[in-house]
Amino acid sequence: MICLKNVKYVYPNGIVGLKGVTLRIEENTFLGGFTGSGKSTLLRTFNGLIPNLYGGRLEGEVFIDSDVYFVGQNADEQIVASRVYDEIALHLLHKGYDWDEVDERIREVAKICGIRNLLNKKSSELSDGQKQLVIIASALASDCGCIALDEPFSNLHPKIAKEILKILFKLNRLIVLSEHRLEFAEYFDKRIWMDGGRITDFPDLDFALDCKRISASNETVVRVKSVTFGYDKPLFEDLSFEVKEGEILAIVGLNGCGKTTLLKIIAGLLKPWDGSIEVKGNVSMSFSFPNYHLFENRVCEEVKPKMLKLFGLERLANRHPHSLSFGQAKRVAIAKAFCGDVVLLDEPTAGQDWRFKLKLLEIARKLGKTVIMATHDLELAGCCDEVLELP
Amino acid sequence: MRFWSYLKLIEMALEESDFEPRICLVSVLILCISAYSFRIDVALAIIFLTFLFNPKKTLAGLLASTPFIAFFGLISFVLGGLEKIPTVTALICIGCLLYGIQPENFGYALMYFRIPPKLAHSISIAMRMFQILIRDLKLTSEALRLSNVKGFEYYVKLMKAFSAITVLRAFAMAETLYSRGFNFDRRIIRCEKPKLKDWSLLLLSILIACYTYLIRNAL
Repeated sequence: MICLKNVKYVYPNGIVGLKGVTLRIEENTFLGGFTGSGKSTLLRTFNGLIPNLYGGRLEGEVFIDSDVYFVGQNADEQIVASRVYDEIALHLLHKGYDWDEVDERIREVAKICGIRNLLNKKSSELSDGQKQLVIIASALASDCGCIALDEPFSNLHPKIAKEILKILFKLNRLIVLSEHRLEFAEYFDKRIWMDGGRITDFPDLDFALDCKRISASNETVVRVKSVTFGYDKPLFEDLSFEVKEGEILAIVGLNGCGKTTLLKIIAGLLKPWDGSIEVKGNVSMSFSFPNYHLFENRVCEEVKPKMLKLFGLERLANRHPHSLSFGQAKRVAIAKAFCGDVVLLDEPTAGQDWRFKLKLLEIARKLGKTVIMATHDLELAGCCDEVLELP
Repeated sequence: MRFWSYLKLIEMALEESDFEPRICLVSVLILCISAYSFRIDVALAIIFLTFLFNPKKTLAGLLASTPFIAFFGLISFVLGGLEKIPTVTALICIGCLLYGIQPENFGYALMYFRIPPKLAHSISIAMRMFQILIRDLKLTSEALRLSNVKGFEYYVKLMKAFSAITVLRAFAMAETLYSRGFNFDRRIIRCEKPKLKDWSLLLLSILIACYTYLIRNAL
């Protein structure tokens, strides 16, 4: 059971994270809310990250009757060990389990999560989705009574995400999940909505993405011809497609099928084994970890004023780009990428609420940009002009 | 050479090899002691030994260290000590051998040799952090490549972004370790059985050490 009584939290930089949260969680709970509403802050109070590691000022009462395993938003940042096996073992070993028990648990969890083939892999060789699966597997392997997950499915294929959710429920532990993809809310006994650091009633959100397609020009901007590429073994063979000017193409597929790799090939960062790529105009890309793209001292130096306005980033204009939250930094990186003629986006909706999805498509169509995005958000993909499914 | 090609070389030099960590650690120690005889023949023997076991990795390590060796050569040329260059090269080769050990196994090996767990875990985390940061630097440079920034500005921007990412990474690492209940004082050891390759490395290292000892006493 988790019980919070009038909890207020102020970050060391003065930003108010929680404004008097009173909450009792005894059953599996879905935590919804817009970007920056305080979901991650709330989850971090459960295992003591706030205030023990973050500092700041925490007021009120927090009562938790079991250990809480926290799964954070960005899987890439949470992989500590160099091998998948050691990553899953880490928590158990430091809890005092012996190697035989640890080994047994790891194999069991790997079987459940379908990652047996990844156990001996280096963590640097994993795709973002696979990393997320490994992090969830370590949570499953743990003996904590409560698992708090902060957007754990942003890089996972919906089919896999639903399977994982079923496994989580079978464990007979308290699950608290924070997600922007509201389709998961129906599986939970309790649903909570956060807004501006407060708990509010779960709204009846009825939104629809603007699927109005515009007719793209006949000029081909990106031509991928018979491309074959892989690392140890081929990821895709003889892949061909074209993207017209002003067209929005979504690349979908299961985790580890090569979506990000394909974007990198189009961007010219990787050379295909075979085949050719032709791109007309400037290519700009936004990686799934946004901070790799942020080189300036202020957001307004990073993004052109027009884009700042379009993406609604004016209030962040004077902030240091690396001081932003993951979701905010992602928006800045995407806004920056929109300066190119051909925009490549890797998981653009990770850490973003549905309002941003609407905005993203709207801006792309308004500016007439050619956009290629790798995504697991099938709803968003369904509203793009073309969908390419990788095997 | 382009910066990202240089980073690829460093990545190759830091790639993991499959040596048993305890044997590798002892061999590295023996080779280091031998190298400090500052004899050219011993240095060459060490370089040959590392090439014998891991040619690709050692070559990448040496190529990646070329600027450092060149700088050392220049300083030695002015201030003296040019004859120490083979020893420095040998030490770089030994470093490549040491960095082949998986960070976690390195920690286990240290604890096996009674190094306090806190220190062993700290060294292991630092080794892992180094791998992560090299990858971050590579990805940041890839992102910068796409923004068409060139020349001096490229390196200024790269370092600005990278230094901020370093801080974020360190904090993320701390957060993850805290969340996983990481206990610095816990003694965890997992050792695998050494293979023929490991014993040969140890044997050849001992032979080099014996040769160094004999040759020094003979002179």
